[in-house]
Amino acid sequence: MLSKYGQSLMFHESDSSWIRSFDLRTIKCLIVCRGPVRKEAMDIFDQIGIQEYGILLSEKDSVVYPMTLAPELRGFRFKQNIHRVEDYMGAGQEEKIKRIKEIIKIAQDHQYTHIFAGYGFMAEDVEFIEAIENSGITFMGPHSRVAKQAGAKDEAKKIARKLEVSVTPGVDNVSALALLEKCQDESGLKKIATEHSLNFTYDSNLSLEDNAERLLLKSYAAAQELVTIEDLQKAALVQSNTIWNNFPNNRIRFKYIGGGGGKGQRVVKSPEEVKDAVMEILAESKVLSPGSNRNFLIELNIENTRHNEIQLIGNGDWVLALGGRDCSLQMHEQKLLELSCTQELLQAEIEKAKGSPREAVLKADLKVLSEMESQSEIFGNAVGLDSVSTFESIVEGENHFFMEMNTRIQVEHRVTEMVYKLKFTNPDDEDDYFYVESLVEAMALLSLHGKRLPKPERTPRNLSGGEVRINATNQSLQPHAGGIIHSWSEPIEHEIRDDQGIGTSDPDTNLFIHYRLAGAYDSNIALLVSYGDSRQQNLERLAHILKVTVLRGEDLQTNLGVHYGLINWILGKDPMFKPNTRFMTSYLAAVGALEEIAKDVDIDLIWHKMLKNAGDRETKKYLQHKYTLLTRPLKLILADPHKLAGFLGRYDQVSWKIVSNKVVLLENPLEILNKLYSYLNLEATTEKDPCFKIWDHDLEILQNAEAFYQDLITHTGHNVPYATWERAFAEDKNPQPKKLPQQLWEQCKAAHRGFQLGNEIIKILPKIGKKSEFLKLGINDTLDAVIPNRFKDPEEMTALIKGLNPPPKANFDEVVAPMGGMFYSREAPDSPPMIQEGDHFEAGQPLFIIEVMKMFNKVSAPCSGKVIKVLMENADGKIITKGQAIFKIEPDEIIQEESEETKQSRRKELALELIG
Amino acid sequence: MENYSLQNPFSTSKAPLNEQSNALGIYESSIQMGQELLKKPFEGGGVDRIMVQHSKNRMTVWERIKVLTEKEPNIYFQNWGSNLDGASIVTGILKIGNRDVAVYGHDFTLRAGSMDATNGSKLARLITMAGEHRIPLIGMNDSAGAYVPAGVGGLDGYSEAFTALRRISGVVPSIMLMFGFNAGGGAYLPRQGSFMIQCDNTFFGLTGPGVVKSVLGEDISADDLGGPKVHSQSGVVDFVTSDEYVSLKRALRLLAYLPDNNHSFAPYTPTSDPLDRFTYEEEILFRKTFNSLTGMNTPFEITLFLQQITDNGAFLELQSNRSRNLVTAFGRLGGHVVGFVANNSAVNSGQIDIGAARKGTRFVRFCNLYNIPMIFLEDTTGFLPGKEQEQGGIVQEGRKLLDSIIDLRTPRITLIIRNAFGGAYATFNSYFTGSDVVYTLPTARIAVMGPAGKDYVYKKEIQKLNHSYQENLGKGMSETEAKAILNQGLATLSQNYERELMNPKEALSLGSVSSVVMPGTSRKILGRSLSYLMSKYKPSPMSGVQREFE
Repeated sequence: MLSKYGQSLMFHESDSSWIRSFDLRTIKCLIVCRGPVRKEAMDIFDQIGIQEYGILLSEKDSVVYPMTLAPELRGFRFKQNIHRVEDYMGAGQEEKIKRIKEIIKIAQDHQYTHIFAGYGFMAEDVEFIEAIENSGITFMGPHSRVAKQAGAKDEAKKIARKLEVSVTPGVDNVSALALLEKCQDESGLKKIATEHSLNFTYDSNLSLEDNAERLLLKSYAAAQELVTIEDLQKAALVQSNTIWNNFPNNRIRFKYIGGGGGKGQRVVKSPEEVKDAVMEILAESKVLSPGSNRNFLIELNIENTRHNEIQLIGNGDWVLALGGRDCSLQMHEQKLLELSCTQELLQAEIEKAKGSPREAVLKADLKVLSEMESQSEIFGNAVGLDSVSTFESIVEGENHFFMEMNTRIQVEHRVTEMVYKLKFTNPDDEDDYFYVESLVEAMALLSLHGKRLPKPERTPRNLSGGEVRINATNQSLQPHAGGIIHSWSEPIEHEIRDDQGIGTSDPDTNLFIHYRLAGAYDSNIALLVSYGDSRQQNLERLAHILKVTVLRGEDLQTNLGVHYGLINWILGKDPMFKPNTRFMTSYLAAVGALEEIAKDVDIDLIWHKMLKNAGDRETKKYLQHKYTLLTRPLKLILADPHKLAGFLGRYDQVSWKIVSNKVVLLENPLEILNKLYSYLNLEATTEKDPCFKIWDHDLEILQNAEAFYQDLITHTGHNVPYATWERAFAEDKNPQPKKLPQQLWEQCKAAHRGFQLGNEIIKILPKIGKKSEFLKLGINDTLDAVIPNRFKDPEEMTALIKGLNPPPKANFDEVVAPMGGMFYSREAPDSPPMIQEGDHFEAGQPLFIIEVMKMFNKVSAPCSGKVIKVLMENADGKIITKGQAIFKIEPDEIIQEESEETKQSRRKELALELIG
Repeated sequence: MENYSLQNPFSTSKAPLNEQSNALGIYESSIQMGQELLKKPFEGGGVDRIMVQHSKNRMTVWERIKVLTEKEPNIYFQNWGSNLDGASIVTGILKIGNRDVAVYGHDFTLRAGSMDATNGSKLARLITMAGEHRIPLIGMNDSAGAYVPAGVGGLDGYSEAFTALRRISGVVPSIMLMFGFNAGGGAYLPRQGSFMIQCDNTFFGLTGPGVVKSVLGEDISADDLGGPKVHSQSGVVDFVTSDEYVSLKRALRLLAYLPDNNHSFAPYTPTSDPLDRFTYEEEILFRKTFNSLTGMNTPFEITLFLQQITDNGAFLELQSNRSRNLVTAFGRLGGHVVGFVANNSAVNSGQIDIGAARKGTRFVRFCNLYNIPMIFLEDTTGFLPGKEQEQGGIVQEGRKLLDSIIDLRTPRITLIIRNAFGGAYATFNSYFTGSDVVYTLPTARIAVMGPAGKDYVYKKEIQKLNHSYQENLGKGMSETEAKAILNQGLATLSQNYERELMNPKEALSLGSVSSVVMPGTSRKILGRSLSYLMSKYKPSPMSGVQREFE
């Protein structure tokens, strides 16, 4: 809590009796979740004066992998409050009920008053919450009633429709509607039932439409046709036209109810297409014969889906929206970068955009946001929201559609904390107030004092907040578990890092404790949060944080580089970029296209060509002097396509442009080189170890050059851009008005030649960008992504993304025994074989067992593939020798041997093209 | 005038040095000379050579020192050598944290860091000094070998350094970092040290691939001949890292577990991790493992147990790329540095083979010399038998492990986790090899033989079963039926054997084991005994009779 004087206080420490009445000391909370929020909750509880708390560990956590002990426990204050369950949830319904009982028993046995479940599955599990409520313990989060109403998608949408909250328009019962079109009412339905000798009774508790539905189900069973295809076509047209009235520019999707894998689906653009489309989906789904269930879904097709959500808070009497978060940058259902979107931010941006095409777009965004905020409050009120929740919507242009409400705190809640704080004022004294900046704190407060809390005001803190999720994923954003973190640099200014405590060093030795990213649950390692007084500043800070964050270790792969590249790319285009949820896939493909070329760029080969072309010995000598200066950063950036992408995105049109297929530099190449060094975090700063900064001799050249071009201007008074100087040197024109003495001018010419020698090698970066079409990826005036077709084609995208992370290839077709012993195909005589003929297996999956001296060693697959033949059929208990073949397999990725010559000649060709 | 320059013509140009000194008095020129001499070793082979070093992504020796410590190094013998440049090696004392550490590093930018008489003599002086002052040594090796123009001088240099290093072996610990390309003496010398750390893209070996090609006609890359992959598998190298920086950092982490010398304890660090905490995870680990489908025969990764008992779960595993059927690691228990030797059933059933025996022997001997207490975690079905092992000399290598354990004089504790059979039990720090305490978990199976032992114990019963099998066949019973009866009988015997003999009871009754430790309390029990034993142990150098074998 922040007092009105800005001091950080616990409630019971306040000098106001009203504030003191919100004392949280009586809470003893059990934390039942893992991930960054566990440590965050612990920290917040410490800050707000909760007397005691405990944590519940899942047994999976620390006994499956070495070096994975819960880092939160280092220096944990309440050692006696560590509890354990086998798993939080369990696999089936039965196990789940058992676990819930177990958790509640632990809480009761240890006199916990509250349970906090973070953002795991259980946090919105109605059964779990109800059981807690019934046990007399308080669930720190929305009441089960809220979770029940808002959690189920269908139910939530029904409520939303009633409240006139915008939901995706469409119908899922076109057959029933077609039937009613014919029969009109109850008697009509009864009549047609009798006509077809169907045993039907009207249920007046249900709606007319539901009754029609019931009658149809009977007709299908009896293979009676009540609704013809023609009827359906008519009804579909009526429904489509209703949608088009409101959304004339969208297409409409028809989807057969039992369809799947794209079958039985059509997207129609105009009324003329409706008839054929209905016929086609029914034919495709093989339901043309009379009496078949031909029902299909009609809904608005959302072309350009953006994922926005509104943070809500309430106490059951009041509900307050806390602005939006844009979570459209996601991949594999995993959000990557989440940015705040508030009315204050949009207003400020509209102000800046006055007169530009962006103004209208931003104004429309503001309208959408305020509509979403007010609808979310209406919805929250209707379901009696009494804690925090998220109102999830998809946004397309000026339309927004409610999807569902997550009745829990979300991973990205800190984004909202960056932009608003809550101001609670004493209803009897407007000068008696306090602020709450943490939503977890607000949850604690609501759970104990809910109804007594007056509706707060939201007070802006920063105009922008943003969060980056650091995950253990490879270059193509697939999970990569098993790496070990050896060190992690300290957080810097403006950085909030929720790292689960991984960075907490050994309290005894102060050394970083090696930590294995086991990935037993998900790949999230940490959350990096920052803020700014504009989106631009926010992103710049995030980029800087990512730049200086050094995570080192063994077999470690994270998405730090992906984020660094992406944020820089956005900064180079437009910070107010409005990506849709598909953007990341195209972006990754574009990065893949860069890698496709970059992997073949051999800087040393190019350098040798340059040396060869250099002519006289002196030129060669000076060129050689610049070898590390020029090649080191190039080699580094070419080795990381994501960093390359970010650099190209950030400095395209700033440092260079492409003019009729040629790269034209827009500034002194040494400036670009400087930017490159800085971009790669190689600037010379004292605290860095020598191998992490520009080498001394290279720094000297850069500094000399910088001073030279600066002095040139000071001494001549000729303050003109670099291009003008370049021309002057080329044409040997000693500049006016203050001419330099001839000898000095000659020296200047020599210096200019020396400093510029070989710099053209930098141009290979934009050349790769151009050749790969990466540079065509952009953002237009209306803040939408511009994506070249190459990065939209599904097949090409898949191939390019795969190139970012080639899976291990195998050149063998057998799995052999790594040691001698007794073979077993199964774990126990009555278990099924671990793998069978025709089965697919992943790398690392156990395939069989070798018993050596009564130890059952599981042997795992060296690569992913398929079992073609089991060579040890019915051979359990047979003795096998080291190297004996066990399975014939077909690896997923087979080595395509490319001869060294082909590779070399390809590299040479590329080298020539890039320096040509 | 040259066509190019990399200088700023506007900056006030410095007059060439010789012109300047003409104008100076005798005193000033002495001062100037002094300054130049002081600067000389820092300049190495000049910018061009430094650039070459950097172009290979290698740091200079001075840059490497900066990674080891922020504090200014105390450099000795600065201008030795005919060129007054320090003879391509840097020798000095570093302050690392609050410890003094002797350091040497070849300067590859000067004659490829090669060895001549001066170089050897500097090395020997520094090494001897480390021994006399009882401070640890870090060596940063980056040397092409003997300096050929120096002739025999280079070889003498090596001899002198070899001798000095051998003489401090067992007196102060040393950590050797392998950078660049080291051949011949440049490979032997560092291996005389206590630990070796090699990073990727480096080589060391008797000779480089060129010589191998010309002498043996073998075509092999430097990496395949003497890269980290090779040496980490043979056990020549203790740690493999990705680059120079990580090697240097690893040296510092290792140093935190090493004593300064053979007179003192390794750094004791009071712990905030309570010794008497009940370790639920240990209990869970065993329950999950032994209750799984494969029961008591389920392999498990021993470091999962190790992390449960060490202070804050931290430990440092040595030689983690090879012979992981035996894990050797440093960790702390109640603040004391402990050497852990643990059978690891997750790799090759935890059987002790030649590789494991070598790894264990080396580690036990080190801990013995440097007063580091040891804890043995036992879970092995025995030494690995077979042709391959006998031909490789398992009898000799296994014997070395046994002898190193017998010789161990520091506090030593054994915890039997599961299997302790036959010769392996007898060897692995049993009471009768001189262990201070032997504990057992209730899950232990201490016996002369594993499950195969039932053939001996139930010899008569088995004969009877076979007999009635034949009888049944004679009576005209079908073979399947008779076999089923036989198998049933055999299975019952196995179960009896497991139940009656595969447990710690006999060992407890005979006084082979002190007491039972319940899962979850290992940390407490081991820690308590260790503190007690450490309070009675005074660190001192090894003395007494030298045994015939290592």
